[in-house]
Amino acid sequence: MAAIALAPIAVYASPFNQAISFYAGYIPSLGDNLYSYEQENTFGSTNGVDGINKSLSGFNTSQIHRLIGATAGINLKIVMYDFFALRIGANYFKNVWGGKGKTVYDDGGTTRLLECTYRYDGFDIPVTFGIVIPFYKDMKITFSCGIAYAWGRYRNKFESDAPLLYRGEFKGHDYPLVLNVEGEYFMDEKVALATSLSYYRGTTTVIKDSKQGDGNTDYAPLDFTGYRFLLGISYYFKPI
Amino acid sequence: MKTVHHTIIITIALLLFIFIEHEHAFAIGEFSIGLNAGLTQDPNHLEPAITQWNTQAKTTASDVDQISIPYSFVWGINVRYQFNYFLFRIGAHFTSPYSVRGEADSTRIKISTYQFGLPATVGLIMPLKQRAYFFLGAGLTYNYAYLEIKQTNPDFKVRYADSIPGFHYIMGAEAPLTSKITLSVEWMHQEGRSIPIKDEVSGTDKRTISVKGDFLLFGVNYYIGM
Repeated sequence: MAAIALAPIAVYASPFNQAISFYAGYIPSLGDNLYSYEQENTFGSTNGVDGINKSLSGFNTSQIHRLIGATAGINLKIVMYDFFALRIGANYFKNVWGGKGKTVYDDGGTTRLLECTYRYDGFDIPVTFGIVIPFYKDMKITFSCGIAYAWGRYRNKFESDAPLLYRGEFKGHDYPLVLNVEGEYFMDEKVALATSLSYYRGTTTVIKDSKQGDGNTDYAPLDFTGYRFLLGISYYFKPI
Repeated sequence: MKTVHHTIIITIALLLFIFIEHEHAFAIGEFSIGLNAGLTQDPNHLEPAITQWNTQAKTTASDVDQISIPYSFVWGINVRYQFNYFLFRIGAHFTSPYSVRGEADSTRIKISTYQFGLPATVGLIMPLKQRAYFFLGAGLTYNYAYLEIKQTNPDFKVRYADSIPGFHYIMGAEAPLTSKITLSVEWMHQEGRSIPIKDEVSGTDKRTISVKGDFLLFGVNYYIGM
């Protein structure tokens, strides 16, 4: 591998270049189905938010959607010998839509209204290595793969007039696999408009609820798997 | 289901034959051989079963060492023929996670699993500079998956293995190192689910195996002169 890595040095004399990019975008299905043990044990949903929605005449229920998240971040890219790139980023993400509504559940033979709230936030540091392909004079496509350090916090709340109140908070980290495809359109020799698609795949082991005081202890994994659609701007330190 | 397996194998063989014949007929494209290595997470999609075991362990046992959802190295080889904007490829890859274990008080569990895949891909390439490509493709996959779960206290052992038809799509890029050698980066997503497979130990229980997963692959490719 060392020979392969060093081979371009003899072939291409072009210097290294660095770029910094700022991105913002959205994440559909943030946290995936947001499963937790109590949703299965108490409310009869084996697949989290997907199975929690139920309705019954006489109850004012409302749809609980999967979360849509917003994300923003910074990215540093080192371009080596025109064709190869190392990318290191830092991103923050948070739910901005969905994850709130009313359903019903069976409380020992009595149907009750249940108000549900899901929240998810965190940050990640992806490191990927890949290939940069110049496309005409004013475009670059970068395709890279790697791994990220991802930290997340998933919170849920279930409240009924039983009276019942379950609150859960799950914090943990994982190292999801990362794929990134990035396209850049150069407005001049140093500044480019950028668009990026990322795919993360990784799930933690089961994490114990850290929320104290509600008398219940829940368990849930954190799921970082999903797509991210981003727009941004890049600045290259040397002209392309 | 056997008909499906046979159909996939015959289709892959037919595609390979067409590539070779096409190469002899026109000799306008390029042949290359590639070696791939990379990573995948959760081969044979054990995550639902692992999370279920972990959750049960955490809610019932006092001392738990959870099963981690495994990462696994992937090794592969492929033969590719490309001409103009088209790509035809036959590959083979193998992956098996090193150690998948868990403990809950006196209960111990060990999962052994591997997956072998034979993807046949048809795709489009975007030639941007000499030997610099961006490519997209999709195709059928023949998979063979093996899964053994062994637990002590209470003791049980199950073993499932079968061939699984599936499909995949790929996205990647390639850049030159020399005039004949290139470096590639590639993502492959694959889907596939077995019919219920009979447990080889008890001969009664059945379960399905999903080969749904993602592979991140780095490759070195050698172009054969024509």
